[in-house]
Amino acid sequence: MGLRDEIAVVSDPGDLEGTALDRREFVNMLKVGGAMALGPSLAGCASGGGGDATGDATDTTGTGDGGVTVPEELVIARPSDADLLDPHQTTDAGASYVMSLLYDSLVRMGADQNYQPGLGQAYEISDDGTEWTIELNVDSGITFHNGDEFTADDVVFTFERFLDQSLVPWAVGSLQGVEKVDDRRVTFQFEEPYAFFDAHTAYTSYFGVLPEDLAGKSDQEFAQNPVGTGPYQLEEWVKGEQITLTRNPDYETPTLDVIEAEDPPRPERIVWQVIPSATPRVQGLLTGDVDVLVPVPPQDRTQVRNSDEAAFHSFAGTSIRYVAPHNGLAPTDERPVRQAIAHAIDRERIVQDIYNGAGQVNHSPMPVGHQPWAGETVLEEVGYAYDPEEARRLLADAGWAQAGEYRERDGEQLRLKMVTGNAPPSVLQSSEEIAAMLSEVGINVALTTTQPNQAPVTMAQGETHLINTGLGWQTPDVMQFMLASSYAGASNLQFLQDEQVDQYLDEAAATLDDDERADVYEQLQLRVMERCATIPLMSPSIEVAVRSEYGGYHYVAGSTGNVWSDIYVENE
Amino acid sequence: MSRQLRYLVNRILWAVPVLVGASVVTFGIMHFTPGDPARFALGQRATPETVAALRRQMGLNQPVYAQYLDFVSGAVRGDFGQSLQTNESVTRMIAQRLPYTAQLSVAGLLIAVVVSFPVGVVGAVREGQFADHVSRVGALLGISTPNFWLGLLLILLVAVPLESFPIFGMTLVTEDPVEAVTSTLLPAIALGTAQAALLTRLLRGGMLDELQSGYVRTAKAYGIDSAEVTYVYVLKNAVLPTITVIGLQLGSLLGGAVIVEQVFGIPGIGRMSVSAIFSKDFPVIQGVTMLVAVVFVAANLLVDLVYARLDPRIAIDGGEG
Repeated sequence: MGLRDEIAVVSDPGDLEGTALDRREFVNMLKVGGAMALGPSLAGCASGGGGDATGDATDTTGTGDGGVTVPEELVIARPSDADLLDPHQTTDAGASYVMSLLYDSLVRMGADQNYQPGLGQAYEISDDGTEWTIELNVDSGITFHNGDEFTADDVVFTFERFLDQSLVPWAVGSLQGVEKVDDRRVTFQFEEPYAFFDAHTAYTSYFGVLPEDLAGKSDQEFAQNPVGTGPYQLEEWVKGEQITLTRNPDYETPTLDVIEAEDPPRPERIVWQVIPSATPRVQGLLTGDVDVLVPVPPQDRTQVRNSDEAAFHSFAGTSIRYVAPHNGLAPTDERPVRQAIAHAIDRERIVQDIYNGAGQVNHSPMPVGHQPWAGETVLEEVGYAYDPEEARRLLADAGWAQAGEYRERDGEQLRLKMVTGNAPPSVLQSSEEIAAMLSEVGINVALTTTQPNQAPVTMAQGETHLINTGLGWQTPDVMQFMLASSYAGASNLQFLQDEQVDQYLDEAAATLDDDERADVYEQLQLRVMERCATIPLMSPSIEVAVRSEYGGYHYVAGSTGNVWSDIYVENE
Repeated sequence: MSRQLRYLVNRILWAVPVLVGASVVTFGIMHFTPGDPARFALGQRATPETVAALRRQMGLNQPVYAQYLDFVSGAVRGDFGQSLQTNESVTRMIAQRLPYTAQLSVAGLLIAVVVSFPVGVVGAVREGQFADHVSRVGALLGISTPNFWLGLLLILLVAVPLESFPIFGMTLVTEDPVEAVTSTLLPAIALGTAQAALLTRLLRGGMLDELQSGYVRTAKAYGIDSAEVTYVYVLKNAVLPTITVIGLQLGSLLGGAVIVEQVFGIPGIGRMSVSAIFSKDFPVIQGVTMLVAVVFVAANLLVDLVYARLDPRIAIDGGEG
C-alpha cells in the first residue's frame, strides 16, 4: 500500500533555524536575480547553514568540531528487508529508507519545510503554472557511484522512465513530458498546474535521479545493484539479512541545512540489519548490538522510552488509519448511519490500548502530521467526538429501532459487512474493537479478515460496507488519492462521488500559493466531514530510537524524513 | 539385482507420484486462492494497464494447464522461475538460504536426540522413581512450550545477560565454526526442545514395553547381565519406532524453523517463505513447498533404509509389498 511511515512533519518544529527559502521566496528570487546568479548563492546557503541548523526534533544536538568520533559502522535495525532498490519499481518502506541514501533528488526539503538545492539548484515556474524549468547543479563535479558525470540527460532519462514505469504515476500530476533545454536546464510540461511537484520530487525514494540507460544494466540488475549519486553506495546485499552501504568518498551534492558535518556523510558504513522479531530488535538496541531502531515497535515503546541506553524520538504521523464506509451501498449510503458509526468509535481507546499511545486521534481525513490539519476545527464545527448516546439517537431518528441485540427497520436488521487485513496485529485488533463498539449501539458487524493487501481489493468489489484501512504520503496530496471521484472504487474506498470535494481537490492541486492552498484544504476537510464521507481514526506516530551515545540524528519534516548520514559518537 | 537394491528402486519410484501430487496441490492452492499475484506484486496504486502487462509477463493469461506444465517442466530442471518481489531466481534464493535452515534443523535434531536418548532410557530403567518423574515432567513441559516463546525466553534470560550468544542472526559453520556454535545453540534449543520431549516419551514407552517382553525374562533367566539386556537387546528394539518418528520429525523441524528463524532473525528458508506468503510471491512458495516435499520423501526413504538395516525382515516384506 506504500504507507510511508518515514516521512512526516515534525510535530513541534521548535527552534529550527533553516537558512533556506520557502518556495515563493525561492521562485521570486529566481525571477529577480536570474537563475544563474542565484544557484551558487543557494548552494552556499545550504552548506553554510550547517553549523547553526539543528534539525533535530529532540535533544540529540551535536557538538560540531571536537569531541566527535565518526562511527565506523552504524547498524540500523528494521523488521523487514528491502525488496528492490529501484525508485520506479517499489513502494516498500524498507527500500525507501535505503534509497534515500543511494540517490539524490533534484530539490530537497530542509528544516522548516524549505526547499533546498540538490541535483537541481533553482527552479522557475511559468506564469500559467504549467511549465517548470529546473537549473541543474552540473558544475559541482557530481558523479554517479560508477564514476560517470551527472548530466541533464540523466534527469530526462529518469523522468521519462518515471512516466513509463513508476508505480506512483499520479505523484507527478498531469506531467506530459520532460525536455532538455541545454546542458544546464530541463523543463517539465504539465497539462494543469501541479502544486506538489517540488514536494514530491524532493522525495528521494521515488524521485532519485538514475544514470542514463541505468548505466548499461537491465531493470532487474539495476534493482539489485543500483547506482546513484547519493551519499552512500551499495557494498553488499545479503537478502533477508542485511544491506551494507559504504560512504561515497566523492560526494559533491549540496548538503541539507540540518547537517552539521563539514564533509558529510560521516559513518563509514551504514548497515541495515533485518531482525523480524521485536524482542531481539529492541534488546539489540538496549545491549548495543544495534545503534538505531526504526520504527520502535509500539508494544516496546515504554521500555525504550524509559531506557538510558537510547534516545526516543516521536513525530506526528503523515499516514492515517480510517474506516471507509461505502457511500453508495445501503445502509451506509445514509448519512445518519455513517455519523452514528463515527460517534460510536472510541478513538482514544484505540490509540491508547492498541497502539500503546503511539499515535494521535484524528478528526479529519488529513493525517495529523500534515498542514493544514483541520481536525480541531472539524471537531468544533461538525463534531464526531465519541458519544454512543448520540449514535443511538441518530440511528433511532433514522428509523433504526432497537430490536433485541441489534437494530431493525422495516423488518431488516442493521447488519454491516466489514473487511480488514489480518496483519499487523494493531489493524486486526482495532477492527475487532470497532466491531464491538458498533454492536454497543445496535449495529451488527460481520467482520471478514483477509491478507493485508487483499482487504482493499475486497472492499473495491463494492459489496462490503466498511473497511479499516490506512494511507500515507508525504504531502496532503494523499487526500486526492483517498477521496477523488476518479479513484472511486480503487483507492477511494468510500466510493465517494462528490463534485464539491473534487473541485476542492483540483483547486488545491493547482494552487501554488501555500496559504491559499491551506484555505482550500480546510474547506475540503469540512466538506468531507459534514457528509461524514469517511471516518478518520488516528495518525500513527513515526517513532525512532537512537543509542544515547550518538549525536547528529535529524528528522526533517516533509519529503526528507530521517537523516542518517550525519550521525556521530559524542565523546565524553 | 539384490533385494536391498530392488527395495531402494521401488521406494524411489513410489516417490514420483508423491511429488507429482505435491506439485498439483501446491500449484492449485496458489492459483485458486483469491488475490491476483500481479496486483500483489505491484501494489494497490498500480494502474490496471500495468497489472495486465505484468500478468502477461508472468504468463497468468495462459490456460491453467499450460501454466502448470510450464511449472513442472521448469521444476524438473531445478528452475522454479523468478520471484515476483525481487526478480531473483527462486532456485538461487533457496540455495542461499538453505544452509541456514539446514544448520538450524540439524542442530535442533541433534539436541533432540542427544537429550532424549539418555533421559528416555533412564526414565524407563528407573520407572516410578525420582529420575523417571523428573523426565516425565520435563517431557510434558517441553512438549507444551511453544517454540517462539521459548526462543524469546532464551533471548531475554540467556543471550542478554550472558553476552556470549548473539541476540540475532546466525553464522554458518563453514564461515566460523566457533561463532556457528554460539549463534546456533539457542535457536536449536528453541527448535529441538519439543522434539526432544516427544522422543523421550516415545523411547521411554518403547523401552518399558520391551522390558516386559518374554525374551528379556528369558535372557535374564539365562544369566545374561541385566545392563547388557537393557542397553543392547531392549534399546535396539525400542529404538526402531523412534527412528521412524525422527524421520517424520524432519518435516516438523522445517515447520518449526519458520517460527524460530523469525524470532532469532535467521535468514533461512522459513523467513523467506513467510515473506513470500504475505506478498503472494507464488514462484517462491512453490519452490519452497517442492523442496520441503523432496526433503520429506528423502527423509522417509532414509528412515526406511536405516530400518531395513536394523531389522532385515522389513526390507523383505516392504520390498515385495
